[in-house]
Amino acid sequence: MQDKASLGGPRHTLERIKAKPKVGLSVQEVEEKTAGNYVFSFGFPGSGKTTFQWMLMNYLLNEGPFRVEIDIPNRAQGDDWEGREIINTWKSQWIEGRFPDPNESGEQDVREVHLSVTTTSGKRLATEFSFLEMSGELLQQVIPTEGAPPALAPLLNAYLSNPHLKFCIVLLLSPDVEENDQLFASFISYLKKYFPSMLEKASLAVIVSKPDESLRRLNEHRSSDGKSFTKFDADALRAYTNKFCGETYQIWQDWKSPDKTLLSPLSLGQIEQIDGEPRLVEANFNHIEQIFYWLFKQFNGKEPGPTFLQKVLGGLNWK
Amino acid sequence: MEVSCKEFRVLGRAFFRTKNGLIAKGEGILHDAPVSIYEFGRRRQDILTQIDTKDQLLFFRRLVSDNLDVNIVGTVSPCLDVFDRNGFVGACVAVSLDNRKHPRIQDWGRLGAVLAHGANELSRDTLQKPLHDWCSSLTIEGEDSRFNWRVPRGHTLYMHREQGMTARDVLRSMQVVAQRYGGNQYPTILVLEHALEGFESYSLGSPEVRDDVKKMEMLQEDRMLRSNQQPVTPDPDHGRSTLNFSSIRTTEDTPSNQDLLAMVEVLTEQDRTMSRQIGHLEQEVERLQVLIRGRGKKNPTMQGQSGPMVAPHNNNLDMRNKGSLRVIWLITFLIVVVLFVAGVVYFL
Repeated sequence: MQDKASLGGPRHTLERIKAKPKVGLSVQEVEEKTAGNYVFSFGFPGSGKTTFQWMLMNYLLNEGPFRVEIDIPNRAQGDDWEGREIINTWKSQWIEGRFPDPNESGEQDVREVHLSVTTTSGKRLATEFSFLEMSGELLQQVIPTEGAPPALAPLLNAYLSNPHLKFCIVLLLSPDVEENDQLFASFISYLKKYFPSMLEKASLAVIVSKPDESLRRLNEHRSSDGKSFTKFDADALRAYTNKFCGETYQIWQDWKSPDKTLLSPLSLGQIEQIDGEPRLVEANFNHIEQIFYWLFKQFNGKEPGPTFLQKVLGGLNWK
Repeated sequence: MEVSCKEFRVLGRAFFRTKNGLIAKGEGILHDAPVSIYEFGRRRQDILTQIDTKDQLLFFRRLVSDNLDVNIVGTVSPCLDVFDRNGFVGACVAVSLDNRKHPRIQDWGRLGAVLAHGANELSRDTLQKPLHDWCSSLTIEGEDSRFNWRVPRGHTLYMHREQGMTARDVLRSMQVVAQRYGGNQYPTILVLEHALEGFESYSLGSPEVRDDVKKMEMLQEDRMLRSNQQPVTPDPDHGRSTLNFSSIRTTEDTPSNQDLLAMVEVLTEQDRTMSRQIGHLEQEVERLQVLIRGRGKKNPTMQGQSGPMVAPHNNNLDMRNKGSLRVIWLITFLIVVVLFVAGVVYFL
């Protein structure tokens, strides 16, 4: 073969090809973390994990009474700007109403976005938390199959085994998938078996995405008592979860502290097909706001809201 | 020259596509492999979401595991998943590494027919079909086995074909680029149908790639000449030994020392086959020896003897040796007697 130095030729010569180092998370780095709050979204591919985080960031940056800072962590290979890059991509998508792209399925594609959040009205509160952008393909490996025990990628195991980290597990229940219960129950069994101490401290949220579709599905199949529902209220939500995700519903009910649990629908707003692509033409932040308040309380201990004085003065519009 | 898939053995093959997530079906060493090894990007900025769904990209990818590294070579096209999101569908085969550390000159150009079969089978229902629909006569070496494959960290190298390049040309050119840049530096190489405006890719028809292809062919040819073997045509019963030489060496093409070193290192498939055959013959001889010894043990005439067992014909040989010794002793004795008598007569 020729020496590289002797290569020449017209514009795109191979001589110019040089690999750039990729800044990313490493198992060692995760193991060495001494503190951290994590929102761990869990569900099948297409269940809405990224959409949930995308909507949460949309609320925090554009709607809610919060000031948000996105950290640029220093990693072994250099400063990691990927979190910032994710948010920048989402920003243009929020404006156009385009939904986020699916995540790539490799372990090396797991990305962490770290946020510092401070309230701008009401009670003066602050918290820090991170969420992980990762694919459902990585997560569904937790379902045991014939000849293959359940397994999660070493990087995810490093997060779960770190005793200094606190997790809010968010199970995304999508009406598009039949096997939600198998996935969620397998995941909780996996945690009970290998990371019991992590589970002791963790909080659990079950989020039912696409409420309209879920309601239609519930009425098609009817709940055990044959009751039909006209709207996706608390009763319908419980009936739906019990009907289509029975073991997960049981896990949610048996969670050690009710304060550490949440069962909520997630409606994003009005969606229309534009140029053959679904677009969020009018966002509805009601559900995501309630979910975020709950998350905030899990990490900070207090929920955002009006101050005592604002309450006395009847200031419902404290934001 | 294209060959049928029957004539090229591979270590594994797989179909993959994005449906409700990325799913795959594989056999051989790609059986039950992690789906992330078939990831080609589904974001709007990824190249597969920017090209026509009719376009088929050829690709190389290095896979590593705890105990084996291999290359996969295949074809991939854009498509939509069940949620109408950007995705892709593809087919690939796994072949062993081909470098100086693990010398094994292969000809990826010969994979053209196999991949064409695979590409024809790509559809929305790809994974509903049995894999042998792809190519029923494709021989996979070894049984289905599960490896924890992963793709090394690194970037994707984008290249494009030039007009007039056949699939074989593209595959051979991709092979030399993969040998030079692939692996840990660029674990993935994607070859576009043509250069795209505003997207930087490198030409597979560039002089340096052509030069590398020529040199690879030269190495193959030189090795064959050293082995006093003629270039062989595709052999249906032994596809791995097939090499096809198109270049003729000239004085300008005299290889450098580095190339000569590589030539010494590189074993052709013919040598490997011959070594295997010799190995088999040696094993056969050993087996026969063991069998003969075993028969000796079972020989009823030797039963009841103590000490090491000796086969009857060996016993006869000993007897013959003893007879010869006696004759020698007798002759020596006679000579000594004659000399003694002669001495006595002389002194008297």
